[in-house]
Amino acid sequence: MKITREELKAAAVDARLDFSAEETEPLRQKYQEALEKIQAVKEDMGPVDTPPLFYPQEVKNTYRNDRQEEPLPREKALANAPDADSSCFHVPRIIEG
Amino acid sequence: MALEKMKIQSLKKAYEGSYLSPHEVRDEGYEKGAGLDEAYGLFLTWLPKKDSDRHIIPAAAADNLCLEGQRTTCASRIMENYHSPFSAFALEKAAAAGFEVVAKSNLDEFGIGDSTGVSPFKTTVNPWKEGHQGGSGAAAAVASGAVMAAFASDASGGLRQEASYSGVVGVKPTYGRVSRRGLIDYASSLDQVGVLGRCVEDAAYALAAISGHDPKDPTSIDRPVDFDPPLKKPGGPITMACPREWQEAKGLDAAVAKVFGKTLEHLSSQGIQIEEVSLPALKWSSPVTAIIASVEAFSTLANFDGIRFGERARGEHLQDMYVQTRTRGFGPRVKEFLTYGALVSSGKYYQDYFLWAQKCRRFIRDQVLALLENTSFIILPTVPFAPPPLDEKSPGPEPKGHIFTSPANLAGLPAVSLPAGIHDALPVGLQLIGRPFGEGPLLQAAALLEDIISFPGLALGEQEG
Amino acid sequence: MSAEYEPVIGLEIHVELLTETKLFCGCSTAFGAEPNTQVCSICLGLPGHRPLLNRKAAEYAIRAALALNCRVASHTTFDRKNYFYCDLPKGYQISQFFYPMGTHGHVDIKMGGKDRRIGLRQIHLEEDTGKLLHSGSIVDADFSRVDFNRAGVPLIEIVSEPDIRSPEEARLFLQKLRAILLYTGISDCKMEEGSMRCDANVSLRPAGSQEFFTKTELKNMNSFRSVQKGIEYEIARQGKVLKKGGRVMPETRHFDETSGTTKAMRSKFAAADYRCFPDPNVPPLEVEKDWVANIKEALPELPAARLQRFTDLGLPDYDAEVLTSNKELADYFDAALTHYNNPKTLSNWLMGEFLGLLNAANLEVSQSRVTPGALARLLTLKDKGTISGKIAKEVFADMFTTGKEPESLIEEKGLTQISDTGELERLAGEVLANNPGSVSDYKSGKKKALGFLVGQIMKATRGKANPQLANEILLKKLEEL
Repeated sequence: MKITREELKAAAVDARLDFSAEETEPLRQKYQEALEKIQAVKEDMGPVDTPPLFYPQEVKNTYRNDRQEEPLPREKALANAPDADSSCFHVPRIIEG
Repeated sequence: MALEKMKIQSLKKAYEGSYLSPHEVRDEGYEKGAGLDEAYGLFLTWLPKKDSDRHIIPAAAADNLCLEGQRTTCASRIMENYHSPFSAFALEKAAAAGFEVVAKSNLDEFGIGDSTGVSPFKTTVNPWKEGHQGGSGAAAAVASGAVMAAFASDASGGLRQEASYSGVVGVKPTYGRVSRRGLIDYASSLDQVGVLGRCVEDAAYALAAISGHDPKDPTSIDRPVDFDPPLKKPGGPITMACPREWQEAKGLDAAVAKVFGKTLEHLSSQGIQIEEVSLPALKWSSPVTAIIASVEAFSTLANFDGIRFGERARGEHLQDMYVQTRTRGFGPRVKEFLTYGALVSSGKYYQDYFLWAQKCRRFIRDQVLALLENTSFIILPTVPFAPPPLDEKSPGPEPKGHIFTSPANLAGLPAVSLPAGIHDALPVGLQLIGRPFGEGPLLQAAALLEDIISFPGLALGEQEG
Repeated sequence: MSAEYEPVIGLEIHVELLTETKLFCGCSTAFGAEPNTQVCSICLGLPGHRPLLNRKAAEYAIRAALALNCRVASHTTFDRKNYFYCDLPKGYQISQFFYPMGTHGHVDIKMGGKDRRIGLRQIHLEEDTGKLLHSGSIVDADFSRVDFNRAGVPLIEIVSEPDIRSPEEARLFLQKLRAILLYTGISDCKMEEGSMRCDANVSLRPAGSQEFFTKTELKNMNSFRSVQKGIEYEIARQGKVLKKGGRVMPETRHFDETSGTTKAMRSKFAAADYRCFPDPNVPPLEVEKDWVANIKEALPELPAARLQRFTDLGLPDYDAEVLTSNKELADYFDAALTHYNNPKTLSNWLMGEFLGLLNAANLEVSQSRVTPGALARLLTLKDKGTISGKIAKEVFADMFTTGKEPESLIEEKGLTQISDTGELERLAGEVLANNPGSVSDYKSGKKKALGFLVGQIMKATRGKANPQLANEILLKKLEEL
């Protein structure tokens, strides 16, 4: 199995990241090595047929009641925004091209 | 007064006997701290000096723990000017117990990867030896005596790794023991808030302060805290299991092997029963953890999009803005990790890598828990190698130092790293892993080992009496 | 559309739940607040936040699942669906991807007099997104403004099977679904406010075939009418493409209300791979049997059961359908019925006078100023002969506009029916004297003339005479002549 540059590029785009041409090949090799190592682990472990474990503790049913709490004051909500007016966050145009 | 020579217990006694005032403690802390920060690159933000008469214990918090109204950067350019509108629950609890955070400390960007102590803002230098990694600002601050304790996080072993590098005690509690609300985590199913202290008892003080149920963190678990210092002596003889696989670990330094081997011999000679066992999971845990952590990070850090907070880079349109913002805002190690997460969870790889890793997690957890049925503790080196030189390069998506630490994260178990010895002027740590919510027995055992080892701590080294 | 193709339609309906607070935080869900005044660190997805599930939202989702004949999951997780868009604060939406709250449901509708059952694949609970505001259209806008008040409001998404075969059927299904949901009280289902939104998956297949061509997803249909219009347009468009030998592209298309057409929305960054996995910050939910049983127990009477009860009361099927299709109207009927035990008369008045006035004034049943009790008393006064049917309608119109009680309106305007025999005999005498032509017509066998004469009494009393009594008295007097 071989990771292609295209797969790497596509994964990067899905993470909204971009790598330069010079960065891509060394990175591809690192991923290739990592996945080869996983292959070796798989061979060492043999088939694993336990169910997946997504949570480290068996906690369940943690709720809150449907009761209102104080929202953030709007100035605070907007305070960290890189671009905003007095009531809304601003984002660049949606339409591409 | 020599704060850096005191334990928390002696500081409390000094307050009670009126030998010391909080103002003196602050003055000394801020003054000496500034010098140590200068020397070792400890802190990213100093907090304004307070003026209360409370009996405070000076502490640091890693800069991925939120404090209301304060700058919180995660040591990332993308968060350079972020001010959190709320505080981490653990830090609120710490403050209520008397810990006063005087500074936010340096860490690897978002805490991702090996604890190198190198961030875009600062390089933390090992206080034991120039030119070597100290792990993090928090660990080096505790080691050098700038603060008495520190709060930080541990997703696959980072906190224990930095404790090992700087020759201090680091505790990662059971998952759920400490609230994670207000921790800017990257791997939510692995990350826990933990503590660093100069000795086991100080670490126990700090951990007891932040432990307890947080009804607003759904992953927090309501369990009584049974490890308030002073720590009791263990009831009977202590037995530990040492998985023999540690000797075959990839990248194991001969020096670390030697120090750890000698420590085992020494402990045995002092009545600690150490049984050699097999734990094959040690060979698999780290790459499995890296897959889970990177996928969770890919998702968890998706909120860093330059809209509601953070530094934004210009883009031609919305989606281009995301790419520009994240490509410029994140450092190379983080980008490499997030893309790895995107890759191993993508359609083609999801089943064979991400889902496979989650299955392995159960398999590994069950194996570790089965071992802990027959023994109270697992003893291992903390990191396979000594603190590397400052310019060491990132090894790839999987950290290289988390071979021995990651099983505790996969299984949500408590673990402590404490100094085992010194090699070539650099500390070497050992690790104890305990049973779920077994912090009490774990810390008691660690304190006993600490007594036997009598490590000459940097700040506590010349302690009188 | 040409007859050689048959449409295959499935709907995805998003319905906002009527909880006080959002799915994972305590911010208000109220509609129409100033932008970004109902937000906090959780629904803004700020670093370090922890979501905490609103129990009521889970309960409402279960209630909806039960009302729509679904099997309720016994175990479920809250999963992250990962994609980047500016209305999605965390970069992922928390949804029930792996174990939807309900599966295997259905809705029964009547289409052209025939019973049709539309399957429901699943109902799941998830978070709503924020809202984009632009000056001008999204296409021209240089930037957009984002309001996160709606972000994190609990939604259920209802996914139908591709069982729908025409645009009209789609509309009927949606209307029936809305009626059922309104009965359960979990949502106000206002399409104009966006608390009910509908997307449609539309494809064609050769008539009689089991396989179908590529589907498109239609968005932005903001009324029942647009759902029908949008699907109609899309079916015709796909038909043309196929006829020309072309291929339908798998794409998302936006319905444009003004032009009645659909338009493709393309993005190089379209999310193809959501990488769903259980959110480690939200522990799983074990849905206890007792909990579901209690929710089921507390379910209100649903349209089908109510329809049956109304027909059992002796109402014609049509009346029962109309009354139950609107929960408020059916509630009104039930309330009035406790004071006035004549179902058919009541139904006639509600479907005729009441709905007529409401429609003319563009009001909802809940906005009516006439209480069910007042209507019941009005009808009782009519039945007792205190007022005539004609006067009753006038009084009702007054009640509708003024909100006054029927008794006070009747008294104010002196509308009490004249049932005084002496007075009516005097009037009858006058009418007979003044209309000799009609009298002789009647005598010569033209019985219709009686009606004219009764009309004259009614005219003289401005409608207040008891018509029955006037009739009797006139007859008696004509016989005596």
